[in-house]
Amino acid sequence: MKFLENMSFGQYVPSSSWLHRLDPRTKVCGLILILTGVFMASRPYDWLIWTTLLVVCARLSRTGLGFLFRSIRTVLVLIVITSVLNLFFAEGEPIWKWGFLSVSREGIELAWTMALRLALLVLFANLLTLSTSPMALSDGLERLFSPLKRVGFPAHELAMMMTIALRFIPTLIGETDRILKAQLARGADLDHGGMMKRVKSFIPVLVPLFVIVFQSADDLAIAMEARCYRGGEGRTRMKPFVWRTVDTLSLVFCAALIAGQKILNWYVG
Amino acid sequence: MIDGLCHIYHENTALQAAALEGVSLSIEKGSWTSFIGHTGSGKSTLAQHLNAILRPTRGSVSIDGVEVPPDGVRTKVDLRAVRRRVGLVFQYPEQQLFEETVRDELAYAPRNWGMREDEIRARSLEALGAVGLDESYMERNPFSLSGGEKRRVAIASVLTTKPEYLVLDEPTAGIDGRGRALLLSLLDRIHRNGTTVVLITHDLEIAFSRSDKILVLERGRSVGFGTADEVARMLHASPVPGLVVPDVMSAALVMRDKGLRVPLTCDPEKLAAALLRERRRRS
Amino acid sequence: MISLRGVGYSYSDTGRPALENVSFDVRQGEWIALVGSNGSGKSTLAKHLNALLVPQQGACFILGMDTRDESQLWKVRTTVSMVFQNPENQIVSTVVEDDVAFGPENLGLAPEEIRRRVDKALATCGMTEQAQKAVYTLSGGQKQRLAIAGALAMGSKCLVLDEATAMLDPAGRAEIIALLRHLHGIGVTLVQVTHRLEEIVDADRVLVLDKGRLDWQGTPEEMFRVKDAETRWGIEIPALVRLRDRLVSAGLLGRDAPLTAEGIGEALCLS
Repeated sequence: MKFLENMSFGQYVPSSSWLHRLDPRTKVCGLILILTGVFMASRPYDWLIWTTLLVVCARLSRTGLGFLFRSIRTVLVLIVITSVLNLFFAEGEPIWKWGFLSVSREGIELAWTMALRLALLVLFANLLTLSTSPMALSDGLERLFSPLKRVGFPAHELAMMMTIALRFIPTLIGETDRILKAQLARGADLDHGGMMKRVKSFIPVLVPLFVIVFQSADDLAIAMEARCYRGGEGRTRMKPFVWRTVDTLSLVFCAALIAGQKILNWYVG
Repeated sequence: MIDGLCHIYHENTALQAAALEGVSLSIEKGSWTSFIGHTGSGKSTLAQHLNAILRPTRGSVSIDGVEVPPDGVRTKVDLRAVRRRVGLVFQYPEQQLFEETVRDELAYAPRNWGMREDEIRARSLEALGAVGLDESYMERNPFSLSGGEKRRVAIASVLTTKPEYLVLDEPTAGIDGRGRALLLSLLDRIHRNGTTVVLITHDLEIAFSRSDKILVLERGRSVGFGTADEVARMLHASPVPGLVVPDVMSAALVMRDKGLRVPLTCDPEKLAAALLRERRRRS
Repeated sequence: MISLRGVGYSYSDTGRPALENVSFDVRQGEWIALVGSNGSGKSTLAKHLNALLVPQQGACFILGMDTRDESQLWKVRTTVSMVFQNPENQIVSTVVEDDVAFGPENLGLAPEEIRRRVDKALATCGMTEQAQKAVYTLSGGQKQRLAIAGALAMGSKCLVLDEATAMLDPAGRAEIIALLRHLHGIGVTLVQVTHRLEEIVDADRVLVLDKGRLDWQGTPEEMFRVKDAETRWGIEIPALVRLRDRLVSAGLLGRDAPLTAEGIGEALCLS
């Protein structure tokens, strides 16, 4: 469970910053808009727009930039691999050769474009999870999808499932650790052997874990019933979402940035 | 034999947290040692070092002369062999059951060690006997047993390899008076048969009434290691948060303060008898 | 407040019924302890008190409402709340105050009302400082206090605790018992199911279940004096009580000595 505390990737940090107080729906839609913009970006000044926005948002969420950039560490490997692949295997006139590896101008451009896009994607997504509690996030998603309830989409149920899953992740990590160690103490050998043997050797960890999970689910269902839960009908919220002017303005601002970027591209080239 | 044991989780990261620091102790063969301390004091972490499930960040752990290499060091030492000699029963051990029959459950550990099937059967029956269950349990489904029976089967599954040392992490957690008494008599029997017992427990009554030596942990450090009497007096003089001396022993300590010659015991009968002797002595 | 008349319940068609002909009353503000060995039916009985189970024979009334009446289910469950044994498996949300709000949210109350109830419940349980904390950082005792806060926020006048301390360490147990004393002091009705008899000394009345039947009722003190209570009911009289009784019968201690280690030590009279 200790490693969970170590992760700054995807973690929620409570605060009452400007970003925290935005409606979760704004932040989700805003993220989608921003990512659209990021993936349309190609010119240096495009990156300037989005990186500035990132820093501004980070400031508005009262997060240290250091904390935010540490969250990249988890996906750094992925970004580096993607860049390298793009660098060497993109189409185009080679400007440098070494053996069968060739680097073209297009390759270089593609490499750092992709790297920047991925980095910005991760950083903006982290700003979302950082400033929105899992509960608020799932509530927000539920609200966004609730019009679909009319066609039978189980928005509330999915949101509740997401909340409970998030709630139990640390618990279950702890249980897995305990069961794993218990079987190791009984001589389990999880490091050696071929594919089949290794998979089989995990059964003594998976079966007990499943039993625990089902028992927990059972207990939780009873506890929820005892607290008068009966699905999404008639449920209110302690922290209801109030759509404020600032929410509308934020979304308009993001859309404006995209439009601005497009116009700049067109004019400046 | 554990010397200057130091186990640090996440060393050199932003969230460094020392689970254990500078813990030293030696456990004699055939003895009963108890580890006590508040939740999070490092008792379970220490226990997991005794059979090399965890390896020290600093310091050394040696079991029967075999030294456990520190974490991160590639080693030729067969750590699994250590686990054969030092059995470790985790908290709520009934949760580790997974086989379809008790027979297979008991055979899991010996099979991992490559024992012959006929030997496995003999050892399994012995282990069942040691926990007070008879042969009729062999073909039953572990999941159909009662909570108490499940726990005993789980303990038996660690006994099949006849470990010389048995480490138990809170074996009496979550069970009622009757179950507790049963489990204790079981442990007493195992101990009498020569197994070295190491008990991690919150139940200070058990620790004080049975231990040759008690280790007191607080926030990862050892704040005391001695006989039950020594530790009881230490806790009375300088209380450790999270550790409450059992009622009867606490009363005995108060009486001692008043100058009465009474043993430091958790047994009401013994204390009462001692007080009656005191009264006769004084009159 | 609670009335059981001839309640019977079986989990299966064969074998002994879990509950047989159980009848008793619980008055508002009382602290009732429900004790007995494993299999005596205490947990089954506890689940009847907030209609998680309904009697197969006889009836159970909460504030006059029959628990078998499905239209009254909500009212029953807002009057009597359960706190379960496993601290983990009754907490729904990731953040403390969100979980306390879960019950009131289900009841469809207005946000300001929910906020007010949550704050009050957290204050009663001494958890105000932890309101914004993540649930997984809490200790066992804190998690159970959170569960109790959730129950209080529902507006419950009666709390049923089904072995709520069984999985806690001694510090956690002490926290919960202290909280129960506080709740009893402010008028909450308590039904405490437990096998640890050290925890029931402050109860108003003890009900002993044996093999599904209500075998005995009385005050905790009276129960400790019942002959062969331990073998008869499979319970364990606390060591301190045994000590006190031995010393009293040997003439070393007055009958009115307090039931604490300090008290006995001080009140000892050797002459």
